[in-house]
Amino acid sequence: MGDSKEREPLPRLLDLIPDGKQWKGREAQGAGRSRNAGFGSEEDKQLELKLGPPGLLKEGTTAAAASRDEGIRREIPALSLGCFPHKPSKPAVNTTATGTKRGFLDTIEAKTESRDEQKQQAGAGCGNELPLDEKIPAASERKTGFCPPTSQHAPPAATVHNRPHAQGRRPSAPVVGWPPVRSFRRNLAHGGSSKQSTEPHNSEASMKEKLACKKNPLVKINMDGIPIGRKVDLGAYDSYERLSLGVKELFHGFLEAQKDLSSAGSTQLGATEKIFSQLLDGSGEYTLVYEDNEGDRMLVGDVPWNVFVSTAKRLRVLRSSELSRGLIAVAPRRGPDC
Amino acid sequence: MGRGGSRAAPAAAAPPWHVLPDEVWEHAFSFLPADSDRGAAAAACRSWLRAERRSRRRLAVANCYAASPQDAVDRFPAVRAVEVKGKPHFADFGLVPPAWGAAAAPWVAAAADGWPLVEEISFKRMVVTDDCLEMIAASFRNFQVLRLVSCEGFSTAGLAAIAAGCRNLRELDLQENEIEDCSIHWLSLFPESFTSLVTLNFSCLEGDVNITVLERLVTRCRNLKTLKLNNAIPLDKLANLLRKAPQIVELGTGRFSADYHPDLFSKLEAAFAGCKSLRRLSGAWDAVPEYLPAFYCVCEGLTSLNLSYATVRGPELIKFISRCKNLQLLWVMDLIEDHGLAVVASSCNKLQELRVFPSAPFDAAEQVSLTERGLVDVSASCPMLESVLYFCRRMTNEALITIAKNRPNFTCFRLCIIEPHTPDYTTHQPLDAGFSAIVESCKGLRRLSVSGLLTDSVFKSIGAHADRLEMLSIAFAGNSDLGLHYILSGCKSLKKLEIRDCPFGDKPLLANAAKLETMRSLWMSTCSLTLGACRQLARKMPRLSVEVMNDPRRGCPLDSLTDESPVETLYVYRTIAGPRSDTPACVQIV
Repeated sequence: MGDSKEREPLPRLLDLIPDGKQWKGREAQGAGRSRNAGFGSEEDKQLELKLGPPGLLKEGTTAAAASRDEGIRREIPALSLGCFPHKPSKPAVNTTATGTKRGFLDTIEAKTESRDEQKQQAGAGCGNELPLDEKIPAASERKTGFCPPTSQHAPPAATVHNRPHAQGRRPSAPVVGWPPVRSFRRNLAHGGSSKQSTEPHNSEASMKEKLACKKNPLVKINMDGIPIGRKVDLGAYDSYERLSLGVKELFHGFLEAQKDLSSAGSTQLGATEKIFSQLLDGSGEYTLVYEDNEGDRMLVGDVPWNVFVSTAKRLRVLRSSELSRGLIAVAPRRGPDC
Repeated sequence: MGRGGSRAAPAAAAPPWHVLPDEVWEHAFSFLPADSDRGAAAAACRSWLRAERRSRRRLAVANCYAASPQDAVDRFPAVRAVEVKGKPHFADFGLVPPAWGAAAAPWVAAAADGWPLVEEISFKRMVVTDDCLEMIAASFRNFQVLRLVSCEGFSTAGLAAIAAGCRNLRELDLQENEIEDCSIHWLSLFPESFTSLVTLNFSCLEGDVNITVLERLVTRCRNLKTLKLNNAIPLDKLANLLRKAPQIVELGTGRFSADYHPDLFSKLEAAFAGCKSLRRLSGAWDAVPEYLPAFYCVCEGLTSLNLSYATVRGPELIKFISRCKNLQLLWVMDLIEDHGLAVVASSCNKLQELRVFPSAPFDAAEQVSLTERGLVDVSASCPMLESVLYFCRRMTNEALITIAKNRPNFTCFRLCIIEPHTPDYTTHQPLDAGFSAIVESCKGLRRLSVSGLLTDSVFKSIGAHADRLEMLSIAFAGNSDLGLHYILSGCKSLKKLEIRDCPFGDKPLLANAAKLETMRSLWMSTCSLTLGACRQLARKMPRLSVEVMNDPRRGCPLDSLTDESPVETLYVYRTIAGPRSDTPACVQIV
């Protein structure tokens, strides 16, 4: 419903500022402000409507991201808007699908880069560039004026529709925080989910497997006598032996440090070797135990490796002497298991 | 007393109404349900102020930085239930820097000190630590309700403290929080003597729970009405739980999948058949279509169905929903598609709220046939529909105009067309006309989110017509400062305005500075603001807190940055507490 039959005079925003200051528009680099916005200033002639070759448009929109740099704009034909000069907000954002915490900083970093380096090759297959927003002309060639609102409906040809409806045809590079869905939902789309398993419709997968399927089997591992724990990725190992070696590597440094600090013992080079050599069979100084998904302490090594990976929740390297006395240390905050 | 003259002093009579004792006013005010009414009463005169504030039991602090915790405690000494909200809404989508603030600790500390009788605490979008939870457990002897929505910073250790320490806990409601799993068996810490639970929602918890412990808890809490499980509960255990709690009113199934076994199916079906009071159902993540018919016996009674994380699709899904004839609330994924929504339109005539979420928000390949048609159908056939959140990929002005005509009773209309700047796909015009129709027709509209290709003229309509609008979300829209000016100079009831990626600059902000004090908050990110304008705004409006968030590398000191420097994000809110002191490096209060 066209609403602007009448051409009303545009309000002078400057007059509305109470203290009457003339606000000087500045063509600041990267500031992307509009000058005399909507006051009928002339359009930026540089914004012409051009169609780019199919390849460039694989990200859908104008590769005006490129147009951060005026020079580039000539080389990379960009689909720009004639009468819909959206402000050059700085939307050069990196793709991010990693959830809320990363997003903000990524935005900032990307934007700074683009401002500072001034070279964006949006269409050129650089997957980082932000698609849609980049219709927005760059700061440097900022639009000094916009079509007055009333004349927007005039030239339909110049409008957006020339943008191929590629929205159905290419993956949109994600803008930070867009579309506005919670981070839980991002994971749904990519299959790895915080709430669901990876195959939504796979009814063949065994339930047990699904239950146990975690995105990353990083489990905590503590060693008696060492106050600081580590985390280990069970998925990175394929056997108990490798795990045992890995455990040794994790705590090796700590043990050495402790030995250095205790001036009394002589540093025995093979000491840590000895400690870790018999983790699995109970005959060494330390034994590896784990806590399973039902909360019980179990000896490592009894079940097949893949079952172990899916049920182990935490690991512990205990002194074997503790084991034999049946005094398995209980973590202070833990309540009764059942 | 005696004035002499012609007027005789009146004979001793009842005291004039305005000197009635406070208790009378407190009793009168207890009938005012809305905080805003109580606030208005308190503004009438000193004695009403005194009576109202001393009898206020429920306090909702919509912006944790609008007042200090001590202000709140001092002013309302008798509060029993407090709700505090922290980060701005766009924090949900990653636009707020990680360490921005909104710590719950000062509120918990102030409450522990000044409101020892507090029974209910709700936090939304705040950073709640395990220490906070431990303090809650230790400080309030009659603590009953803990609700945490979109919070982070705590772990199962904190939950353990709550379970162990809150003897009278009725509700533990954890919605969409980020909870670190410390493998603490927090559920086991509810004592055997503990039976008061009415609501237990741990659906957002990622770790495993001890199912035996859960079963025992559910069995002994005979008043349990709401149970929302996480994804650690297999289907057969779900059936067991339901048999132990047939009185349940609201159920979150967690996952709902298993290989199809007729025995398991029958077990489930029987379990649901026993739940005669079940009214609200959610979960069904990974739902396997073959198991959906197990729900059939409860469909008739369901008023609320949240399948927004359920990736099930196809005829079984549609058949299931179509049997829920009394649905008032339906949240579903776009996998339902237009034809599914057409069925919803014809079956669920009592629908009041519809939300359709995108199953593949980042993948533009159109696998899902959900368009404007679905929304048009539902709006045409569901006369009580008043709240909509709809993600789709295409829209037309005509559809929006039709929707506006069909449903002038919308109070909340949020349309998200996934690709920014998408025009009407048939006419290639901006969607100004459509959204204008919405605001002109829906006079009671309180919340609006716009999307698609939009010019300044839609904002003119919104500013002029949306008199009751309280919250407006704008993204990738408008083409000049005028757009923002229309909004800020119109929209009489506007409380929250959030804007991203729009070409709005300094002028409308400064020209409408006074408006900002009538609002709760304004968020503008990736617009065309400069630091100088923000500084000027802060100078002009001392009761606003003007926060600027920029590239951390340029964060401090802001003094060295010039007025021309662009501002990435601006967050402005009114406050009586002055500038906060807990900003991270990349946030500056100018």
